[in-house]
Amino acid sequence: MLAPGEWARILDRLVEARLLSVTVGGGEPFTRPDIASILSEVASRPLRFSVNTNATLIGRREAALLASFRPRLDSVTVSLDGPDAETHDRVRGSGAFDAALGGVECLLAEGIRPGFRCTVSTLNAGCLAEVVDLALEMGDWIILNPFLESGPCLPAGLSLDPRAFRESCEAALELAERRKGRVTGTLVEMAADARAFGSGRNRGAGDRRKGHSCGGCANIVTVLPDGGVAPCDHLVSLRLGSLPGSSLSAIMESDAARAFRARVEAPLAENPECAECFFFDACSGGCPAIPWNLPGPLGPDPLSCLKRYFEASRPEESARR
Amino acid sequence: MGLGFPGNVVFREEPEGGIVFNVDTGEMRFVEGVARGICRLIDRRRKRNEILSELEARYPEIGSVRLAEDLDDFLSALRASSMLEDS
Repeated sequence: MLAPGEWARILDRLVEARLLSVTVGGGEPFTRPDIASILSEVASRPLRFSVNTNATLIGRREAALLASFRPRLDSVTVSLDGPDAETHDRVRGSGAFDAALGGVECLLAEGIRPGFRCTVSTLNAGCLAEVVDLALEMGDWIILNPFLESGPCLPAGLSLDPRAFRESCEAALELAERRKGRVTGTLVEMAADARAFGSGRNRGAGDRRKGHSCGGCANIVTVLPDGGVAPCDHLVSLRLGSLPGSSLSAIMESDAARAFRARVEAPLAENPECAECFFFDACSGGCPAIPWNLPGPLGPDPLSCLKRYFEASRPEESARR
Repeated sequence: MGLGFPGNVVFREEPEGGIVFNVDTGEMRFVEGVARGICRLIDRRRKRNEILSELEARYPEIGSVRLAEDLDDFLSALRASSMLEDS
């Protein structure tokens, strides 16, 4: 674990690279006893920043600390994986729900209205509406993203099967339409893409050269607790370099970074499974995190694949194509 | 005393254009062409007339009157957004 002084040097590297905003996340950032020093280092530089937290360790002191960083503090995003202790704690451990709500109360007392993020999995897919209701009662917005089976130490059996995934996407889009602009996330986007395809709006607009729609190593980069740099927090085993020993610009131009970009930007049409796909022209490419560790050319992201989506629960739709 | 970006404002060049970003408000202004050229010259040393002289040398095809108008409009817009200060 790097000391605040080392983080200060890393932050200098980020400023030197003209980075505009950072997100302080984890794990859980408030497990660090020196988090106040680190956040102060961030706030003392020309950076806008956000904090991702499970809120269980946020008390009055932590909330006041965060409030002291306004206006540079952009947002606080709290993980909310269920509308009640039973569901949320199944994902995050016993007592996590009550502790998180306590943390949110402290934030609200300081005038910080948080946003929320729900990772939708087999454990909570059945109660999205209730999660959204609770989140929007306490905060400004909620992001609904599917559980992504990519990364270290992930428990098995949390990924939604194709049918449950499609149902969750449709439910998420319905919730988003009712709560204009306050419910977002990849589940909403996927259902919207599918609906657009169904109505013919995004057919034939594709680009045969396109690859995965990944901002990793282009618009975003993840700095790990030891200073290692990865393309994003779903691909932490892919080390592109290390801060502060190298500049961020040098890391972004390294062979490892170039190789990453080349692979994710390789045309999907190079993948035989995609090249002949009926849905190719409407495909967004999606996130490379899941297919990244599979052998061969980088395949489609199952969570963005329209073919998989349409075949999920209504095979007759696909059979007609 | 020259013109400069305040400490809470970052100018970042991009492959096509640039971004002027206020980290306190989140306001972002995209610049290209002459505006990008002006941003490059805002360095706390150059004054308005010095910037204009450099623009005239770099963009002779545009003409001094038009460049002066563009410069003043752009500097006014930056000032109105608290993205420019005399240093």
